[in-house]
Formats: sequence, C-alpha cells, structure tokens
Amino acid sequence: MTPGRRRRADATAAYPEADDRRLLEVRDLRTVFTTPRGDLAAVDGVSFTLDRGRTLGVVGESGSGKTVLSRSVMGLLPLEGVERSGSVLFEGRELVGAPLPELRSLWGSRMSMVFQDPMTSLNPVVRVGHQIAEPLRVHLGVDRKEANATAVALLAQVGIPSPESRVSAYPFELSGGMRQRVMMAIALACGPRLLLADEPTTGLDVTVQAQILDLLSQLRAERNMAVILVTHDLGVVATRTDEIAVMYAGRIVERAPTTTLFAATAMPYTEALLASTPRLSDPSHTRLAAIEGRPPNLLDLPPGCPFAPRCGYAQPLCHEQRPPLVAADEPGHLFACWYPLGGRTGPEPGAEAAPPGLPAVDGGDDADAPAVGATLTAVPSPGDPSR
Amino acid sequence: MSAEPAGDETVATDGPPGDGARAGPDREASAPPRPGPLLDVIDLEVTFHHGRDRVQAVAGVSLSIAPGETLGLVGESGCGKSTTGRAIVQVERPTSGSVVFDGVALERLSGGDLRRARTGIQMIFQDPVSSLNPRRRVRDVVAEPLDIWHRASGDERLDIVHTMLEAVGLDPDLVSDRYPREFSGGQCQRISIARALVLEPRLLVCDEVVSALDVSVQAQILNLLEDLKARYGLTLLFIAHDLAVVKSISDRVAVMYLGKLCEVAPADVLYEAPAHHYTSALMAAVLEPDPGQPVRPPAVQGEPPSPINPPSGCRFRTRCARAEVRCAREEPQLREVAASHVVACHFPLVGPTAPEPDAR
Repeated sequence: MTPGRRRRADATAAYPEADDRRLLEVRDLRTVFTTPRGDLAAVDGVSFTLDRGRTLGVVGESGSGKTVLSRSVMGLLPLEGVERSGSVLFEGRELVGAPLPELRSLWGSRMSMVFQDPMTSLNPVVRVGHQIAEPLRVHLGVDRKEANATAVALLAQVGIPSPESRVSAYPFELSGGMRQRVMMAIALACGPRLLLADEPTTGLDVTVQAQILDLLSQLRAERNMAVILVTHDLGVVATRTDEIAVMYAGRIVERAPTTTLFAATAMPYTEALLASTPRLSDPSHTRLAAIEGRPPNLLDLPPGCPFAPRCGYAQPLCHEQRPPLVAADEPGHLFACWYPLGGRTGPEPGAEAAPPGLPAVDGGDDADAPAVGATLTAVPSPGDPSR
Repeated sequence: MSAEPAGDETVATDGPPGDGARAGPDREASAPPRPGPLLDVIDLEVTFHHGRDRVQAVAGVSLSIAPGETLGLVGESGCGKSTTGRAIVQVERPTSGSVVFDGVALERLSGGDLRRARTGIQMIFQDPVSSLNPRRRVRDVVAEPLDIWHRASGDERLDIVHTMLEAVGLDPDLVSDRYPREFSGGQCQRISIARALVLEPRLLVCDEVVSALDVSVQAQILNLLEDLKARYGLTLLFIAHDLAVVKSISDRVAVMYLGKLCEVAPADVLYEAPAHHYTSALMAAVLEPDPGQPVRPPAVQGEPPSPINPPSGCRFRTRCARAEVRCAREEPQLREVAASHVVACHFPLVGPTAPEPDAR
C-alpha cells in the first residue's frame, strides 16, 4: 500500500513529474474545531494515499467527518477556530501549514472540488459561461475570447446540449442535473490532477445520478485525473471506485480495494451499513437490519471503539480499548476492529503502539516517523502554479 | 420500554443482520375479501399558475388504496408525486377530480367539515426538523392535535402522549420536556410520527419521510413504520423517489411521470417484470451496493421535459427508446397487462408486445 513512504523524501526534494504515480499522500491528518463545548476532532488521524488516475470512495454517515476530510485535504477550512495537523502531500508539496496564496494557486488549477448543492455553489447573478471562464483567466492567464471558447467546449464535454446558447444562461435557468454539469465544467476547466467530489449526485434523480457518475468516470479516464468521491451511499461507490475508505467518528475504520470491501468485509460497521440498505433484489416487506442508536457525540467519545455501543458483536474489550487500524490478509485491506468478521483474528489488545489512525500495516519502519515533522518545514517555495 | 415497536433490541441482537423476517406476514398473505377502498382518488388534477403559464402538476391521476394496504408512489422530482399527496390531504385543493376518503368526497368539504373529516388522514413530511415547532416541548408538539380537537386533557392527555412516544421508540421520560432542536433527524422523524398518530388516523401519507436520513436511520424508520402499521392497522401512502426504499415497504407501487401514472402493480411484480419503459429505465439506473453490478450505459438520456409544455401523446416518448409515431399521436391509457398490473404504454414490456428475451 505504501511504497511511497520512502519515495516521499525524494518527492519533497524535487517536484515529482508525471512518472511519479503517487499523487496524494495523507498522513495522520487531524482537523480539530474549537467549539464552546470543547475541542471537536472531526477528522481524527486519517491516512491514505492516492495514485494518479485512481478513484477513492469515502463513505460514512452524516457526522462521520467525510466532508471535513475532503475539505481538509484541500485546505478549504475556516481561517479561525480550526486546527489542521498531520501531513497532506500533494504532488510532493506539503499543504498542511502552506501559506494561503500557495493553496489558492492550487485550488481550481491542480485540485478542484464539486460540491453537493450546485444551486448554492454557483453565483446566481453571473452567467455560467463567465463562471467557467474565470478559473481559466485567473490561473492560466487565458484571454477573454479564448476562455469563452473553452467554456463552450467544456460545456459540450460535460454533456450539455447546445452549449453555445447555454454558455450565456444563468444558473436558475438550468435544471439540477445541468447545474451539476456546469459545476463539473468549472472544476475541470484548468485540467486538475485531483478532483474532490463531495456528494456530487445527492439530491439528483436516479436517472440523472447515473448520467453524472458515468460522466465523472469518463472524464477521469480521459484526463488521468484522480478522484475522491465522498458519499453516504454505498451504491454510488460500489461500481465506480478503485478503493473505498469507510469513516466513522472521524476515523477510517475500514479501507480496501472496492471488490474486497464488499466480498470480504472485516469491520462490523461496514457490514451493518450494507445490511441496512434496502435492495431491489429483496422481496417487499423484507425486514431491514437497522443499526440502532446513532453515531457518537464527537465531543464525548466512548473510550473504546466508537462503534461499540451500536455493534452487535461488541465484547468488553471493545468498550475499553480503541482498536488500531491493522492489515487483513488481502492486499491493501485495513480494518479497525478487535473481533473482525470472516474468521479473521483481530489485533493483539496490548499492541496499540501505533498512533491512532496510522495504519499498522506499515508500522515497523517507525524510524521514518520524524520525517513527517521534517516535511512540514520543507514546504516548497510558493509560485509555480501553472503546470 | 417494551420491545415491540421500535425494534431497538430485536434487530440489533438478532444475530447476523439480514434474516429476512417479514413484517405482518398474515396481512399481505390473505387479504380479506376487499371491503372497498379506504381512499379512492378519481381523475385528480392540480394546476398551478406560473405567470402566464399553466403547470399541470397532476394531470389526471386515479388510484385507490385498500384498508391496511401500503401503496408506494414513486417518481423523479417534479413528477407531481408530492402534489398528489398534498392534494389528497387537501392541503393543495385539487383543480378537478375527486378524493373519496372513507366514503366522503373531501374536495366538496371546506372549513370545519373538512378539518373534521381530515383527522382520519395524517401527513408526515420530508424534513423532520423544520416540520416541528422549535419553540414547543416535545410533549406539547405531540399533544397538539389532542388539544385542538379537545380529545383529551390532564392525565389522560399525558398518558396518550406517553404511550405514543413509547410506540415510536422514544423514552417519554427523557424526551417529553425537551425541544426538537435537541434531537437528531431520525429522532425528530419519530416525534413527527408520534404527532401524526395521536388522533388515531386510518391513513398516513408519508412524503419522502426517509430521504433526508442516513441509511442506518432510514432502516430504523422504515421498520418502525412497518411495526406501527401492523399495530394500529394503518393504511399508508408512501411517496418517495428511491425505488429500493419504496419496494421495501409497499404492497403495491405506482410509478408517476410528468403528472401522470404510467404503471401500477404489486411491488414484487413491478420490480420483477416492469411493463413500462420508464419503470424499466428507472430500475436500471438504481445503484446497488454491489460491485458486481454491470455498469451499463444509462437507460434514459436527458432529463424530464418541462411540465409547462408536456409532450403530446405519451409523456415519456421524448426519452423512450421504443417510441414510434403512434406514441406522439395517441396518449396511452392505463390498461391491464396482468392481474392487478396496469400500464399506460402502447408497447409494454409485458404481454404480446414484449421484446425478445435478448433485446432490452
């Protein structure tokens, strides 16, 4: 999973080029909000890597931290009242602690985001063509005429009929599906290497949802762009991702290649999520296996496994100690559970040496650990936003 | 709290999830000789005026629901399914057509008569948080219908509220004195359900009641509705856009497109053998949590046309792969293709016009 550990040191030394397959490396990312009732760790020690052209699905219930995770990766967080620590290496640059102008030069050009609600994300009083052309002019310095021509081409690429006339439409003149396509055209305008899609199809009709997801896969393949697809819907990620991370209470509780996750589920939470989803193949009035209770309060987490209070398999140990994220037998499969499913043996209870969230799979080379701190200082000089 | 209503214990400790126990098996197995529908909607039309345009949100919908039945109403946004639900409750007065509930034509009533007749129908809405008054305690929210109708007061009133909160899986001692904002979406939806049930309605109109909830909570609420239906002998009109959710809870399902019904069938039949091309396309677009699911090109392209100017003939023809000249000229009427399976299509996927097994 992480041959890039060693590679990272080189990556910070010089900008990696297209031959470097590793696009993003997130290590022990923590995002803590300061609230009147105490510190709230919405993202609590998350690590993962993403190669160019690959798709990672991030799945979780509301409040699991999946949206905050995607924003933390980009650095799109409030300027005050929030603390981000850990490491986000994007194309070899450390983004945690990077100055705002540097982040701004990346947003929209190297990494961009598609949000859930296209109506509130688009400017209602600006024609969509202008909104698509704006990043082109800001980041690439393209002149107005060329930017407008590109906007028309982009609208055609995202499947909007008669793009020449739609380019001068206002957002309210478009349907929800069309607006989401416009959002994608804006996000793709500068040819980003990483696209974060936060619930891009929630709120759209099923027929339109399938169209948007297909479009996303097609554009990803054409542009060798990596995608992080954040959703609450396991159906959305089942057929369109390479890997899935399941989040619960701010942490990744299971991570696996997509087919492995569904075929060899290790974490009871993942199993419970799957079982509570109604399926077309079940006869009507099939009793759903609901997960009782609700996600824990992040301000007052239980001492053990955060899922233990709702887990049907919980044992005393689960309420006492937090399980580390450890490797399963299948390649690339990690889970955080003392009593995993499928006849697996869980981690040794005493062995919680690994800091929370750091996968124990690459434990052992802990001599490497100071490098995280070292990279924080080795921030590449700002500038060079182009390509 | 007793174990039966919310299934809080039953489900979680039932061993590995997914043991497909059926809720209330006796009801759907042996429907008694039909006593006549509880709700009969005849040629319902609702027209809105938008500037100079007329929007026919509901364009002639007829359906009936037998006592104890759950009818699912499914369709994409803008198809008129919510308006149909609101027109049945007379929140939106129908432009024409009739809504006969328990033998009474609601559209002819007004004022106090309508309100009195309507106590037998209650509605639950999509957004549970905004449908509860934030400044009233849960106890008063749930008791309000009782207060309005002077059904109970004093200890009796509190007893009813207590029983109702327990029935929806909330601990009355913990929740009665609190305010809606202190609860999660799923809990607020439970409170809404309790409020809807205190008047002992016979028909419950559920408008997208689980679409704002997480899957785990959605399953809790769906199970709760099944339990309450069995316990109180309720009849449900369940309006939603999610086909899997609708199938899970419904006895029969009606599919709606641009203000009209295109297909009505028993739930299992509809999903096994959809007769309308739109139903089939809808089902093909459902994303199941199964990586082995084949990724097919979308069965329909584009989006529904504007209801301001609907297509002539069959309203789905502009997106239908099977459409012919006849579909533009002649509007297909609902007709039976199998027992209690009706479809409005000139070339249904079931019956003599069905394509070869290979062709889609």
